[in-house]
Amino acid sequence: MHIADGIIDTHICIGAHLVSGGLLYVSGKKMPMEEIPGVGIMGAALFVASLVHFPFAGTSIHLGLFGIAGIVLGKNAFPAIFTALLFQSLIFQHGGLLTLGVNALNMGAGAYVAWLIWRMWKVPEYIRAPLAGFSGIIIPALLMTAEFRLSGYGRGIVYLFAVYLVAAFIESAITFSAVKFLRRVKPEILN
Amino acid sequence: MKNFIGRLILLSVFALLAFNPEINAHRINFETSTEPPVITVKAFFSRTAPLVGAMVDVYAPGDDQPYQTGRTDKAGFFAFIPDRTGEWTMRVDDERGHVDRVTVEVAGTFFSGDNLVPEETHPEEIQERMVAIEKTGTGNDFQVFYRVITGLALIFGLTGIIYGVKARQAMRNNS
Repeated sequence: MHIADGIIDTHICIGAHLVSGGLLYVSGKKMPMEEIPGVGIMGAALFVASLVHFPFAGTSIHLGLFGIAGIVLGKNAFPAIFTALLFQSLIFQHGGLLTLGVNALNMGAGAYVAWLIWRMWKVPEYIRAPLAGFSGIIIPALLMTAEFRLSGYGRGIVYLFAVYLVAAFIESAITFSAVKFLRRVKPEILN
Repeated sequence: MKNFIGRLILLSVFALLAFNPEINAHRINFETSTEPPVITVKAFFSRTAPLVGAMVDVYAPGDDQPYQTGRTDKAGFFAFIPDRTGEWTMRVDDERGHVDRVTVEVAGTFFSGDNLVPEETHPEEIQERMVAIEKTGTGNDFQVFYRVITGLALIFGLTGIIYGVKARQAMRNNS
């Protein structure tokens, strides 16, 4: 999910950095002060979540929590995701610094779609929650596969997408459980 | 701020999961061994998930150009023959975003005799050297723990700074 440096065309990376910078600026400007601690904690959770990995089909899949980030933070998920990815890249060399903008936009898009799904209030929660978790992974995976293909990678990359499909199902179950848990202990966080 | 506790609970659950060695393997772990004249490195996510076909660049002490490049085999192993003493670095990249480095200290005794460990070297000394090598690997659990703590501290520190700046702005606007 985290694209390393040297894979995506540099022009795309620079463009993604500019768009990410713009999004960060707008989010920072509009974000109410009382939301900042929550964004920081979710950023920390996202940073740690990627360390929880499951070996699968010769590679490793890990938690993303982008669905939960979208549900809990809504539009403010992007700064949390960007911060988590920045420190994952700096401390664990997990994803490149040049591709940070691309990665943040991919995963931010996942969180944003999850938020849109979560806001479909007429749909029962037991459908919305797993669907939001599923889209939190599958949207970034789709974008990543498209970017790899645009950068000249062969059809083998589709295999990677299949792996993330499994990750998306795992994530949807985790998101559903997390929503059920939060509904019980802190329901206002979900509104 | 009222959502703070809920989010803190969520973070704690994942922090506990992350420090569980059974499932925490979203990093490259290394096992190194030196059996003159060969240094062997095994790269793996977990005991059952070796890093297959990962790109390995070996750097000799003081060199910034690779001494040798190659890929790990089906079991995650990579081997090379060093030609000098000092700290050898291997950069391992699975080309899916997981990159890490491991360093191996090659001592003078490595090249004794016909590239064999001299007979007078006691098994305990060899064991000590192996332990010393293991400790230099960046995939070491202890180092990962500190790296996670560092990351969390930086994120919380950054959050505090942004919160402080916003609070100051709000105070200025009110006055």
